Amino acid sequence: MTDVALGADERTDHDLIARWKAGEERAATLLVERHAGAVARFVASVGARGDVQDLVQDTFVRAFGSIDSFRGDSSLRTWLFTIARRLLLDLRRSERRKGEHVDVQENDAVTEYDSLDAVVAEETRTRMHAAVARLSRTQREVFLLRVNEGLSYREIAETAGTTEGAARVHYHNAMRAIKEFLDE
Amino acid sequence: MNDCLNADVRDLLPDLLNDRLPAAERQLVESHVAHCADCGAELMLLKDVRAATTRTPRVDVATIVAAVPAYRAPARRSWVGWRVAAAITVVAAGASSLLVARAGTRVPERAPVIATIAAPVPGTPAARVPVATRDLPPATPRATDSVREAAPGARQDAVPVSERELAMAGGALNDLNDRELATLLKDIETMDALPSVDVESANVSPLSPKRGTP
Repeated sequence: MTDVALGADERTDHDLIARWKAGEERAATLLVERHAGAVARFVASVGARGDVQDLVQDTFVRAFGSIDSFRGDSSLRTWLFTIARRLLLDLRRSERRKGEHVDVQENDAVTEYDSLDAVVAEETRTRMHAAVARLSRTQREVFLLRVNEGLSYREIAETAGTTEGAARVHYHNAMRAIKEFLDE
Repeated sequence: MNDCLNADVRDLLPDLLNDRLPAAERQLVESHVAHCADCGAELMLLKDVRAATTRTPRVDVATIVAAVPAYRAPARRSWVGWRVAAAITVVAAGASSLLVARAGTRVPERAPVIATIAAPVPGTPAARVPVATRDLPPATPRATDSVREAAPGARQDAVPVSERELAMAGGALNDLNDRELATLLKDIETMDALPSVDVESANVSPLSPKRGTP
């Protein structure tokens, strides 16, 4: 990927990575500051509860530890989402083995969305919250990555481990489901 | 709430919401949304969804940065070890092939030696020849030299002495002068390995009646 094809944010990420590799610790701080919020928002939106800090921290530790495997085919943020998602899935599997109630199945309908309870106050927001909560986990993940983070279908496919076409279908199915719920 | 038939524009609404469209494309989408009630409603829905679901949990950046490991450049893969191993393998394979090839060429060299010695010695029973091959006395230096000339490159020390002399006797017998030939025949006659054969008894027909038998 050439610099011409990169957006300003990606150029900045690549520059910061290069500076961190060169020994500039400040570059790592800037990278974390740039993406920690989005990663936290993402893991919270897909079901992380009280372990958001740990998940985000583990995400960056893994990312910096294997920064040379980041080829730049996708944006750094997408790559971070991918790592965070895998960590969250591992955490859920671990919790399931311990007998805790978790949402593991990709297509299970989700009937609770606790991470947003504190935020939702108004009726509209409550309805939106309920509409999103009714989506399957994959639909919700794809839909929120598209709407909240503005990822392209290709980036979503990389993050969610699916295809671009499947991501597009999940998005539109989610949109249709939300509209139907709000029209009821 | 209805869906706009312009699926392309609908696909770009999240990009418009997140300001990820190039200027020209953004202008086109905004122009469409301004005149399309369905797309306008869907864009509002997306804004509501984002407002309802966007919550940024607090994260401690300093703690995360403190946990980040220092950068370690990946170790350069050294191919020296593999190259050495490959070279050793090639050399070993070559040496093995050479040994096998030499072992394979020795067998045909020995076979004619016995065959050739059986023919030229007149008056010597063919059955004795293999027995004599093991105990032939050392041949004359000149005869040995002729063998070396006949088989250049052959390793002298790799062949048992008796076989070398046999080779000399069979392959270079015609090169011997009368004196050397006489010496060789004399040596053969004095060999202990040769069984003492009574010519007369040997010539007796097995079918003739034994002495003293009625």
